[in-house]
Amino acid sequence: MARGTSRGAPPRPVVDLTIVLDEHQVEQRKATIAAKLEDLGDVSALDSPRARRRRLIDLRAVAPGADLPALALFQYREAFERRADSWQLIAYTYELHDRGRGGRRAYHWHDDSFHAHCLEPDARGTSHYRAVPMEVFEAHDEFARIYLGGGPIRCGDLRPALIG
Amino acid sequence: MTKIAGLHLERPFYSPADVAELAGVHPSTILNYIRDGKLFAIRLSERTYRIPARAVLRLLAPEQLRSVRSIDLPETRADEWLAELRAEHRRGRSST
Repeated sequence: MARGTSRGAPPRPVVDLTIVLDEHQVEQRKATIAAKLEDLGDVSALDSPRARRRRLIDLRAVAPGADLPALALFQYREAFERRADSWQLIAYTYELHDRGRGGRRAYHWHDDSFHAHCLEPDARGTSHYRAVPMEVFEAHDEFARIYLGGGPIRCGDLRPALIG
Repeated sequence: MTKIAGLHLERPFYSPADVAELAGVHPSTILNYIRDGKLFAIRLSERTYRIPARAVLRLLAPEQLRSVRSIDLPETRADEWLAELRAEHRRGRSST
């Protein structure tokens, strides 16, 4: 999806985020994401498969699972819109919440805006950061690395969003 | 790999050496499992892998795992969620 750039800013890479899936492919995508999450925690899969116009898929894992106290929540949500006999991705939120220390890192796409939210432990409010289009598996790898690294969520590598 | 009945894990993360000890195999066997994609691990540095507890259970005691809990959402949930996102976005922009 092509994104505009402000004067003087380097051109953004064009990332095609057009994801159109038939019913079977949506189920496959759900199963693949759930399988990845199952390595990290106890998984819930929420879906509105009988929706006619818009469908929300909400996959979450409470880590570490295995009857241990919760340390993190991974939550990946995607909204799809009906296109004839298929579903087109129209929005997503991929989120990691630190349940022990606090903190949140998230990548959002909705209303033509790609952005990140990040909150370090003990910080307040919700801060917007710049982000590029991201596939769920890319976000998952990043979140898994943060979680398994064992440290707190940090935001220093993100750039504040431009107001406008 | 021999399955272990009643495996009780006390930590959220394990090293390949830890898992090898639990399984009664050589650590290189565990590294091979990671390399072959049979055991999930994140490589934190050249010599450091970290394996989540649930991946250890998946390998050694899969019968102890809770299966994925499936929940049906109402059809309206997608629109509600999009409205919630827009509201959070507005709040965030005003506080950034």
